[in-house]
Amino acid sequence: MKNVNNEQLSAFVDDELGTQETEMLVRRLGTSERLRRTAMRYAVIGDAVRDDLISSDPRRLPRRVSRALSSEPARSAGAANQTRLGLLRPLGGAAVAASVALVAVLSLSDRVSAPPESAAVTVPEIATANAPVGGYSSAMISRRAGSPDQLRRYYLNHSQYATMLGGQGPLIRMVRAPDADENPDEAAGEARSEDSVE
Amino acid sequence: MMRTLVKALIGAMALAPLSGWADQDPQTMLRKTERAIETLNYEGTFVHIVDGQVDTMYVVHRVEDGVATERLVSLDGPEREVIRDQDEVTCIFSDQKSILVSRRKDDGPLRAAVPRFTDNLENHYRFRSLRSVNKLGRDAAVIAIEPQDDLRYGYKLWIDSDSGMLLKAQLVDRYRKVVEQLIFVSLDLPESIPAERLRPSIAAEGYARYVQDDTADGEQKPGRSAWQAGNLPSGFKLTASNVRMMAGASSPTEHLVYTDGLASVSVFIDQGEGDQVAPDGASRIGAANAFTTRVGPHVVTAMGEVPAVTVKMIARSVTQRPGTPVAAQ
Repeated sequence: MKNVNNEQLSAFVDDELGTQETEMLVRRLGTSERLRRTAMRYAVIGDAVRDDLISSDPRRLPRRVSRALSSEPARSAGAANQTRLGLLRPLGGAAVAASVALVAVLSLSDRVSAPPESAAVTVPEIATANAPVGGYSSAMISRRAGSPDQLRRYYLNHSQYATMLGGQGPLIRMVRAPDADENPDEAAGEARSEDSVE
Repeated sequence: MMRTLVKALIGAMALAPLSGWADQDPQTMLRKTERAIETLNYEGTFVHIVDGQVDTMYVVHRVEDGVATERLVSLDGPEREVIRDQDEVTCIFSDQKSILVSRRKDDGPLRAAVPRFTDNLENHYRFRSLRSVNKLGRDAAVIAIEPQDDLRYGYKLWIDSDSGMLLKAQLVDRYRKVVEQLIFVSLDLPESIPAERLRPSIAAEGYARYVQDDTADGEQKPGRSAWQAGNLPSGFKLTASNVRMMAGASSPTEHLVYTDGLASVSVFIDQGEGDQVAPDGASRIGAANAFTTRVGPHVVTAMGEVPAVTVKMIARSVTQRPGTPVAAQ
């Protein structure tokens, strides 16, 4: 495990990493500040998704994770697993949620940062104000030959008028600038889900 | 004497902390939350989840002498920051090595069009107070806003009982599936925030800079538009319209904004030529549904954080107003 990838980190946060890999990852966490920060972020996201943030002071969570990960990097895998169980408290199937969240984070990162590949369609130059928002990838554009660029521009303009989620909604949407899905499954988009309100 | 007493009472009410919210009706809480978001100093990290995509973001909101400045930083993936003050929105995209500056009027049509919670929302939504919970170590009032038809989404909001600050928000469809949500994972509400916290962390040297001046072009009074949507969910009204050149377009786009006070739907009318037109039919981007159709040589797209059936209904009802010049051609 010379280079820790995000899937391994995700599995670690969800306590689903194998014993040997866990031991090696814990060693790496002991020496890499960047990796520790990423692990803490994933843990917080997982807890947020599970609605499992500690109630007294959320800042304690990353502190506790950091302390545990850095204090005994070479401890046995079994002991490490025990520690994580105490820290992250996956609740039944809730561990799955953290994985889902992490996969989502990774897919977003991959998508946004995808470098231009051999282009079936020329990547448009950044010509005007809205164009640079969001990551262009030629592969993305060729896959969506119907040109979702216009939808993305519409979305950014629309977002300036949106009010959802308090005052943050429009800005969040500008930062994210997601891709358009041209063939949404309308039924799936509004289907019943276990992720429901109380 | 009585007049002095009344004045003192009003003054005391104005200065009173926003405590005891649980006893107030949800609509009042909603308005106070709106005020809190605009007027409080706050700093925190939150998770934004939509369509299975999760983003962690840091936000700092500073109010000094009644002027709000805000900085939003994406903590995942490429470095991206948005800084908003009274006059400008500045977006810094490290992955694009570009800076986008959007200049805005203080109280121009765009800001005026930002939906406000209005008194007639009760005609279209049911408001319910749910059991208070503890969130982030704070007592959180929980309110549910449920649509009275299937043409708009509902909301569930967790509100700090002391400050009125929003702690968590969900956009919910008719099956109670969460479409979009924002969850603060840490939040501080300091008395003041140093101005340095608003400075961007990205060293944007050598970045391309693009300026979009929204103060000069294209805004028009609602009702002057050459286009109109004939079939809208009850309560939706036209609140803004403009005609302007969008990025990469060779002809102007007409943009209409309809809102019921909570949900908003944009209608875009464009030329139907070239490679850049939106594909016909249903699309989805983020939490927004879109539907594109053709009206003669024009492409009409309705888009908003509402169910797919709603944007389809609206897009298909868009027509040209008789006797008005069409800008988008």
